[in-house]
Amino acid sequence: MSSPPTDPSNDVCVIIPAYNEAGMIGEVLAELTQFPYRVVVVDDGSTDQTSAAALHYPVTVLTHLTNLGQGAALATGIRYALSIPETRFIATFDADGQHHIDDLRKAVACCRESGFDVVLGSRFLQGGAAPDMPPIRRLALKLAVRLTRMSTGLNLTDTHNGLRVFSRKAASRLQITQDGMAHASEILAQVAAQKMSFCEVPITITYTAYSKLKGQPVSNFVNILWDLWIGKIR
Amino acid sequence: MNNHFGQTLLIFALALFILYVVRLRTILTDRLIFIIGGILGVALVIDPNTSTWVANRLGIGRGTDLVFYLFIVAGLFFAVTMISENNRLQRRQTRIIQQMALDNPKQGPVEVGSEPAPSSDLTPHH
Repeated sequence: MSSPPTDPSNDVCVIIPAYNEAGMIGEVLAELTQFPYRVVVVDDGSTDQTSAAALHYPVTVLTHLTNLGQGAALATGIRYALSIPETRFIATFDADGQHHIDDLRKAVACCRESGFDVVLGSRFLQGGAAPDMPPIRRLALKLAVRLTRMSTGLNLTDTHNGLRVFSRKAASRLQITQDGMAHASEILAQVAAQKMSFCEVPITITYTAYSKLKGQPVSNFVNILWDLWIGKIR
Repeated sequence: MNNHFGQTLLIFALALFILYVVRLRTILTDRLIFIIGGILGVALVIDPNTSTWVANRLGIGRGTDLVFYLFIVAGLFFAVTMISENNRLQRRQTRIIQQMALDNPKQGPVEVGSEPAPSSDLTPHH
């Protein structure tokens, strides 16, 4: 558990996309709500008690009637966050317990102090870690880093990390059209195309049996590429 | 007219098809292509020799091969229009579901353990 809250105000809105996370969301929110963040859980059409579990905590819950995908859930959360005039920073955080609050605070502080448009978490940066990461996942993520470098020119070390912080200005310029997991590549493409300033902060990803079960399989890589290309057909 | 001319023409037609699919499609042009394709199909059934005559001119050889190539292109065209329509409906569905979620935010208790706030106080400032 982290030290007591020290963040200056609740101008930070943390978006947590959640699909069938009733088993873990309570634990994540119990810790997160000790900090003066405005927390928005986007229940992406869960068939379990995710919303009910989240509503035990001082958070806002937005519910998709049916499962759209993580990209759509983030887009909903960001739109809600931008509708709150006090919001200056918008963070995205996973619901499955993989992320650590200290890393979130570090990323928020970095965005606040540095003035960067976007701060991205990286498990591969010096100081970051991802113990117990399955080797095949490490390989797939490294390949994704290469592909992103080739397609966007962004020199990043981790391209598919759910912990990010956007300034209000940056978030309002994002147009997430990819409903599924391809949103991660789409966001980076827009960061590059719109020449947003960005930096990476080292973070730790904790792979648990739960998160490995809940996380996307490596084979989803093919689906992401498919969505990125086929999704362009208008 | 030699084979190279026919093959170059076919490759050019394929490039044009890709350009059309990626950049130039509209609902009207899609429908016109369907209508023209249908008429062309009927014409080829009525006069099979036409396909052989065109195939010879293009250096393909047999009319059957030309019809086969056209069938592949027509199949791809059909797939693209269906994917496009599916994407459009999906985007529309996403917008509706997102707006419904935004219109009905639910609020947990102000502090852990207390009662949830009434949801009517939560509509964001659009």
